[in-house]
Amino acid sequence: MSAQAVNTSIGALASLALLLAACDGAAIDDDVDEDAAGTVTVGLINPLTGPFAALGEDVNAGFEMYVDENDGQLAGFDVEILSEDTANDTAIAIEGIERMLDQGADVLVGFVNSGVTYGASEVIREEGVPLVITTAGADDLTQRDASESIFRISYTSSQDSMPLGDYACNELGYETISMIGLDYAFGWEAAGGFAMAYEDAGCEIVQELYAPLDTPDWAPFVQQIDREADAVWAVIAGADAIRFLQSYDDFGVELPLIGHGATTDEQVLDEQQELAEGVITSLHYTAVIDNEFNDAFREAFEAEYGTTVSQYSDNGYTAAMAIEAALEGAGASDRDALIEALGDIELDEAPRGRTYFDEYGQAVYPVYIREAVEQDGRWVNQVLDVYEDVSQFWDYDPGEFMSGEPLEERRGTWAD
Amino acid sequence: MSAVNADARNRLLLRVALLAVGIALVAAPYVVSSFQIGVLSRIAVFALFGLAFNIVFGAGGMPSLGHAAFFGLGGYIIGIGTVRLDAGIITVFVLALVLGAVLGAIVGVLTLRSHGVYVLLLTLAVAQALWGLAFQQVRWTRGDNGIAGIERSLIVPGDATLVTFYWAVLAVVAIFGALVWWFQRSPAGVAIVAHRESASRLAALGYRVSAYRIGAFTVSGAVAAIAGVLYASLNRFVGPENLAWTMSAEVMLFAIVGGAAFFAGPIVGAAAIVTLEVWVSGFTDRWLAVLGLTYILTMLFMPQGILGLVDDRRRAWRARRDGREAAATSANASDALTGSGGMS
Amino acid sequence: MGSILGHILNGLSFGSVLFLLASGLTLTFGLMRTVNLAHGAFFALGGYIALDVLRRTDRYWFSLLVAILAATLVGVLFERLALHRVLGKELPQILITVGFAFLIADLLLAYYGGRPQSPPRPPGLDGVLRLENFAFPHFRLALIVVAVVVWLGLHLLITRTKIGAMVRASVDDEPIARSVGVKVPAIFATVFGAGTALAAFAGVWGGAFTGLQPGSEWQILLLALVVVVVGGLGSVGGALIAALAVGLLDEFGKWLFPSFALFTLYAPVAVLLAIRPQGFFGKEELT
Repeated sequence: MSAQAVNTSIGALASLALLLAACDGAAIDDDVDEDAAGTVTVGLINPLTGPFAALGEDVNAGFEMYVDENDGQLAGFDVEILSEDTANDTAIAIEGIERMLDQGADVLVGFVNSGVTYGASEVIREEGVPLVITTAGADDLTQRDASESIFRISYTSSQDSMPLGDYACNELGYETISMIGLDYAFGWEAAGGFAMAYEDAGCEIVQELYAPLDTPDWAPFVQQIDREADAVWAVIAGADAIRFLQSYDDFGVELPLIGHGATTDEQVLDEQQELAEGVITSLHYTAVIDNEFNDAFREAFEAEYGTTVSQYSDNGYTAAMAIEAALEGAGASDRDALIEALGDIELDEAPRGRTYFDEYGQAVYPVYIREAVEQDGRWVNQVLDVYEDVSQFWDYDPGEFMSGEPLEERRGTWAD
Repeated sequence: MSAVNADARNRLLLRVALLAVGIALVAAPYVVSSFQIGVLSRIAVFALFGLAFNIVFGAGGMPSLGHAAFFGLGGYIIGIGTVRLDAGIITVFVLALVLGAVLGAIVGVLTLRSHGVYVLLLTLAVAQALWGLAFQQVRWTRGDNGIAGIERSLIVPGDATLVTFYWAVLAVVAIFGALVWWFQRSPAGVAIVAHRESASRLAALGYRVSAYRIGAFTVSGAVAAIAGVLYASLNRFVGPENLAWTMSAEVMLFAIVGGAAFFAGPIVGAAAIVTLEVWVSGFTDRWLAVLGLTYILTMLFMPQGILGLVDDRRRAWRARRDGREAAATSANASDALTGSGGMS
Repeated sequence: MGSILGHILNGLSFGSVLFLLASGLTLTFGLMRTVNLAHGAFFALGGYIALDVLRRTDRYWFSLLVAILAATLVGVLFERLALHRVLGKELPQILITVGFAFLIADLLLAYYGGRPQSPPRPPGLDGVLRLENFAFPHFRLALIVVAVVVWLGLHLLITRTKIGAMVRASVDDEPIARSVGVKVPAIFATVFGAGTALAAFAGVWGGAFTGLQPGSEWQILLLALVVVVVGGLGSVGGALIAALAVGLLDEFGKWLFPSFALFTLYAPVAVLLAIRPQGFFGKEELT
């Protein structure tokens, strides 16, 4: 921030304080707000080093921005924010959590890697501290292994793909699809969700390909794609997504490409640019959702951090809103009260749209069907359609959904 | 005062100091926070891993960059054994010892024709291949999601709290640490060191050089697998990260930073590095940069590690007191490992 | 038939990328015998600097030059100030270069953020060669050519000039080399600088293929190590053949056994090293 900007903000803050003091007459005489209902200590636990650092940075930035926008308070509670790096390593994550619990954390927010989340979930359950997951996708964290203290504001790996299964078959009219994905649990579950919804809509998966995480050369996989299919569906994240689209383009695969939202999310779209043109994906967020809350969020975030908003910054921001709502509902900031209240929240002013938790602690939210296009010199995922109130079980009955074979174990069975 | 008396007094001092450290470790839970008990448990497990590693590295002079293979193997044995199957803890320990030893023997055989930096790369390749299997053969390992829910109560007789688990870890580490100590002083252990100093001389004396090489890897693999079992139950989780090459690099750092030429080197190194990590990451997100800088400075200014520096100081102090005779003999001993002789 | 040819060409072009990634390491590790685990960090440093300058100036070749010069400067300083003090001592070299890689990569993360980025392909190489049912990108063809050119350059440098001999003499017996007039410190700084220059070049050209993100420093290092070691330390030709072999093996491994893709890269390397510890073309070493 430049000196001038600092002066301006100090000036603005000072006038705001004077104004408030004039209206209220009382209080506001020092930083420690005396009429605050109390303090809530939030522990952010995200990767800040290693390959997922950008995701962790965005989640934390989103969370911190919402708290800052509310002058360091949520529902009248002063917010103290702690932060630890998971370094993508369970042992380091557990150590970070234990340190923050020692320092009095009332609620934890974070996790990108599902393995690390599983590894740390024992400690979290044992301590009875509420956790709001902001990225890690493993379905079973809020299904077969659901726990009353664990909530998730971000997607389950399969949740955001299922609506596209319906859309691709019924709206886009693709009757056969070849799937290509990253070869680990996230890829299998996302692909499984898509394939299940797509085939139940009456269409057919004809091929299923998987490539290892960090595949330096995507050519061998791209060349195996079945050119007889009507379209290709992909779930590929991060740097792999850039390399994949490059190879897809290089080797002249002409089939229409659709996929999971991570394949073209805002963290990679700036690099993919025209390679991503026309790719249709599904996700619970896009930077250009047209509502006043998202407009305000996007503009404030870009002014503050100089980067595009992403699903990750939205997850952090919305997690802060969820905790605010829970504090309001509970009127207290202790762990048990927060766990109790988190289950009942309902957010009507979230940038992504109406969001609430189901009985397993998983967010129910709108899922957007988006198409990557260039708009005023910037690449964005423009909204084509929206499915409201998408649950992690889509249209299926939760009991039946969970009594079937887990999606990750159905890898390789869809094309049969 | 005569040198003999001084040695006897030093030995007594050392024993008193060891006893004091032991008592302090056992009593620690009464003083420190639960977070710090977690850190101490991790240090203890890494210390055992470091001791196992140093049988091959410091004593054997073979720079393995694949010890995560044994460590991760132990983790998956307790993970698959107790969470997915229904094995008891005795079975887990026996399996870890046996399979760790078998894998060690295999790696030992593979490296028979290599030396120096080639050992490093071969062991790295073996561990990376195993990592690839763990990552992709999901039916057994659950891949990237890893296996969670490993019970700590398996290792603790009675009630498994953070504190009792810590004591149990200390006990297992002490037992296996003592076994390593005893092994290194046995004729086989001495022969492994001799093999490092000069394989050809050992062969001339009628020893079977290859047997001692394989032996070093076998014992090292078995103990490292036990450390891996402890680590997985400490985290209650095992995943591909337990097999990652960064784990192999970390254990090598423990040995070098502590002083690979000394039995206690890896213990000191594990304590120093973990403490540094915990301390630095407490106040900056740029802890990796600080860690990196520390490694560079450590090697530039104390290439023999922490214990090497202590030892130099001690010898210098003694030399000043006892005259120059002692100083002359001490100089070469500490050069043995970190110089080019150590790896070629 | 077209498909087999496609796979072969792909394997060769990926192999060429591998050779580019490894070429700097054939100098610093292969020739100088310095265990340079910071190789991948120099790769990332070159790539990020080029991207940065390119975004500021929009001049491709200028940014490539700046990146190479800047990385080389860092490399030479690092060699003079730190690495040279542990000449011939492999263990301290490991720790110092790992430490340096941590330092550089973490500073890059702090400065450039963690989002994956990718230097653009060189201008003019964006097109695709298309024949009937067969397509192949120009950039990949160019990579094969560049790999051969780099190999030829290194080969001539080592066999036709005295530099190769002087480096080897300095590594084998420093005092003797000094006594016959070899300026050992200058030679080492030069060769290490050349190694980092190649790593930085790979960061820009190879980076256009692999992309840059936190963690690239280790991923690239592991690939480069495999190439240098399989080829045999000190043999540039060996590294080229090894890179092409690994590229083809990887290509066909992924085509034929996709669910063992990670395993098929390392298991054969382990077996080869057990049978021929010195790699394809390395010289048998004396202990």
